[in-house]
Amino acid sequence: MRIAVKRGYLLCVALFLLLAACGTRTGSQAVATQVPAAATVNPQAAADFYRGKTISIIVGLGPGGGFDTIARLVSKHMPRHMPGNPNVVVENMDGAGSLIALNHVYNVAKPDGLTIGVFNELQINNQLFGNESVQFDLRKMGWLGNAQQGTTACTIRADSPYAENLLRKDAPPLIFGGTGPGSNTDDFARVLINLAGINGRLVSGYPGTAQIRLAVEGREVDGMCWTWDSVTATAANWLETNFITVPVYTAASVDQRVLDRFPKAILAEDLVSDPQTKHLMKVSQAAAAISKPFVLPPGVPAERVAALQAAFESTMKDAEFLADAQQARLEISAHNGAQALVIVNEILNLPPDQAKKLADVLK
Amino acid sequence: MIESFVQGLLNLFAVRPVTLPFGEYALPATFGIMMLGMAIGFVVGILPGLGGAVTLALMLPFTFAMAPLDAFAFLLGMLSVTATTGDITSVLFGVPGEATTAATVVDGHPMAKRGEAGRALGAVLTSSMVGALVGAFALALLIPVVRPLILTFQSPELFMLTVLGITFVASLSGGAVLKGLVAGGFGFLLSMIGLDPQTGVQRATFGQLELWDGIGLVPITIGLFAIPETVELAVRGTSIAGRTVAKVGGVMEGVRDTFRHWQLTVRCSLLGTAIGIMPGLGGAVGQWIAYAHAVQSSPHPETFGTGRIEGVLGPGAANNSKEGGNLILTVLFGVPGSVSMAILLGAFLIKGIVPGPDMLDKNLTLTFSMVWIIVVTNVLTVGICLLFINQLVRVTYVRGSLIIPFILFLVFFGAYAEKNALFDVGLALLFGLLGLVMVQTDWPRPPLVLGLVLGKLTERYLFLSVNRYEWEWLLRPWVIVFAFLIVAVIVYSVREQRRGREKASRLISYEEEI
Repeated sequence: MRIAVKRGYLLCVALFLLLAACGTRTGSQAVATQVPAAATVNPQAAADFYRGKTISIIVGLGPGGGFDTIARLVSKHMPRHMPGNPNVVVENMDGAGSLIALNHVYNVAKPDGLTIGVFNELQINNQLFGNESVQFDLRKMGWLGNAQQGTTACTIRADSPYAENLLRKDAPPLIFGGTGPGSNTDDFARVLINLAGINGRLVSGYPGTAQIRLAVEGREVDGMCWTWDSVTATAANWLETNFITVPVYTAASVDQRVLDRFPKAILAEDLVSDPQTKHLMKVSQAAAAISKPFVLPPGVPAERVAALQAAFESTMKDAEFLADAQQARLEISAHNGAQALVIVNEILNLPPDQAKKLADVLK
Repeated sequence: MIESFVQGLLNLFAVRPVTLPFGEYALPATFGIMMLGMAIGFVVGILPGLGGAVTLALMLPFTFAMAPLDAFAFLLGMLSVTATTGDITSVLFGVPGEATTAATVVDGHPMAKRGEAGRALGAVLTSSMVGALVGAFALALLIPVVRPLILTFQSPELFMLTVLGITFVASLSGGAVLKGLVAGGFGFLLSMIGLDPQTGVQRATFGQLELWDGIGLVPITIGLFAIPETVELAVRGTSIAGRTVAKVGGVMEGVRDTFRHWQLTVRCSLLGTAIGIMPGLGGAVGQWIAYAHAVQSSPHPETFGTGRIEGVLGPGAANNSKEGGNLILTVLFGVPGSVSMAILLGAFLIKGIVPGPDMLDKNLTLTFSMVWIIVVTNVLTVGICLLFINQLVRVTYVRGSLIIPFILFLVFFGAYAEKNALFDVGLALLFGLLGLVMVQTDWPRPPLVLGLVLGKLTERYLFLSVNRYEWEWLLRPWVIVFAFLIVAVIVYSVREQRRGREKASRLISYEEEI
């Protein structure tokens, strides 16, 4: 049965590549319409199984953040789209940047289709770099999809000498603030410094992006790289008062929202010309494209995987879900399971020497 | 500004037409919603395991349809209640309800053992209320200068603040300074466990993923304080209150105590507010500093830990006054001081309220309304608690063998619930053992907790300071001011120590003469 699923995936991968080649990302919605994997299996079996059952979504982060809120909204709206209308509940399993939750879902949770994991997508880099604490293979998990595609923007104080020309070398180093290794605040700054050759310096170890924001306002650091959603949500007055500018950002493709506000902003990979470095830069930030991922442990019966995948995909398009998400100021731009898996494979198939190089860049 | 201050309060009680199933009525809707939030807070505060943060996260979707002020009244009402009720288990059972109420255990629970639970609870509740009031008024006065003040506090200044905090270890040592320093140092070491925040290197994690984020404050404080108390209770074989000294009317005595020591209560309230508006210090620091201050300013520092009322008043006041400071930090800079505040920040964003200078300008009335919500809910909570506290105090007269299973339930659930991790239960047991040994061999436990609370902060801000400024940070004006303050505190403590010893030796020679 596993092989059948795999074959289904391969089919979807091919289909997706075709679709991806045809379509471009338009604003927030990028869900391609397609049949979920293994749709040929008997849906009645899934309905019989799920009737009266309870599905747990294990969130690898604490309550109240974006991950938790999205999981709770999914738990509210997904039952309507599931055969058998099971209950869905959310449990928080915070710790080690989602590693605990992900290891748990992969190794401990029963592969019966009643446990869904939600984790910090940056864990994929841990697997890529062969971190010894990683006890999972994301390629083998059942991917339901992911809810958001992140854009990371570097906000630099507008009075900084680097605001106009990021690549200049004749000024004191541009100081980035970061929250620690493995966060996008650190990783993107390191990529800019080590791969794009920006004359910068990373001061890392702030407790959170909020504290870095204070440091930017207090002139302790000059800028920070963080998700565009957070910029618009928590630093709206920076945008209003033109306190900062965004010279560079990273996303799966051109993000019109950033360009509308900062027409001169460029994609990070356009700072370099060497194709290998360009690719490395893209891969280093590719995890953002599978932000807020929903996965199953390996070995879940195919008809249940298919039912969950279909339910997740229709939940992501559900008008009530989207209205709730909008209320919570969460922009939904989902991938379905097959699409997310393509990105996962693309990242994890990076040749070992390149992966080693990337690990050194991010270290 | 005064206008906004008053209007902010009036808005809470504003009457507006509300459509109910049985018709339309003019009701104080905001106030009603606040009461509903408080009711939920009471249920959650008494049930162990469901912490304030989880409740807020669960209730957040219900605020989507509310007007902004209603939503904040609902959430802040809930938050204020859970912050206060945490003190109740601290005093009654020696089980800190939350990490932020641990300092209340040190003197509050010994009072309960003396049969003075009512007095201790009366004092902690009243001082909480005073704290909330003083904090709110201090903030109202500070609002014009608060923004530049907070921005002055960058990494080097925060580092110096944590060092200043460390100097309080001596006052928390209960006379045995050397033991206190060792315990504080051990706490410091414990705080280093986990991923190092700058380079991600694993420190003393022994391959345990659970240790990556460091060891939690909640299981450790519960272990250190609650488990030795439970063991002692079992060995003693009596009720928690070993003897019945005070009448049930002791609650009013506690209320009077607060005003008897009004200077201390006000000072600790201001201390709590000041620490509350410092970005990045977190909720657990304030109460310990306030406790240390209570010890320091007492003529009998050596008697603390045996059930001194001042040791209950200080942390009680600081604990609730910090909420106002935290709130300012959240509305002004979007920097939440705790998980609960982070969820509240989420609610702001959902309501389209953007944290920033506008909150002290265009939206000042709303900001004041929020401060007032904290004040009003605190007053109401304390009022309600005082009504049923007499009944609650009777628990301390129940036979130990009946109450111990319940306390153990609180202990294990409390340790488990912070992260839903069984690992933390084991940790609580381990530190329970350590706590037992420390009690038996007369080692002070508070310095260990202070070291644990401050260790990570100290390291973090030292690293940030050096990394950012190299050694230039030592020349920043506030750093120098703090350096002088630190030296002054140390000189003062050493002098006091010596004077205490002289007094003691004089007493001995006096006795010898007799």
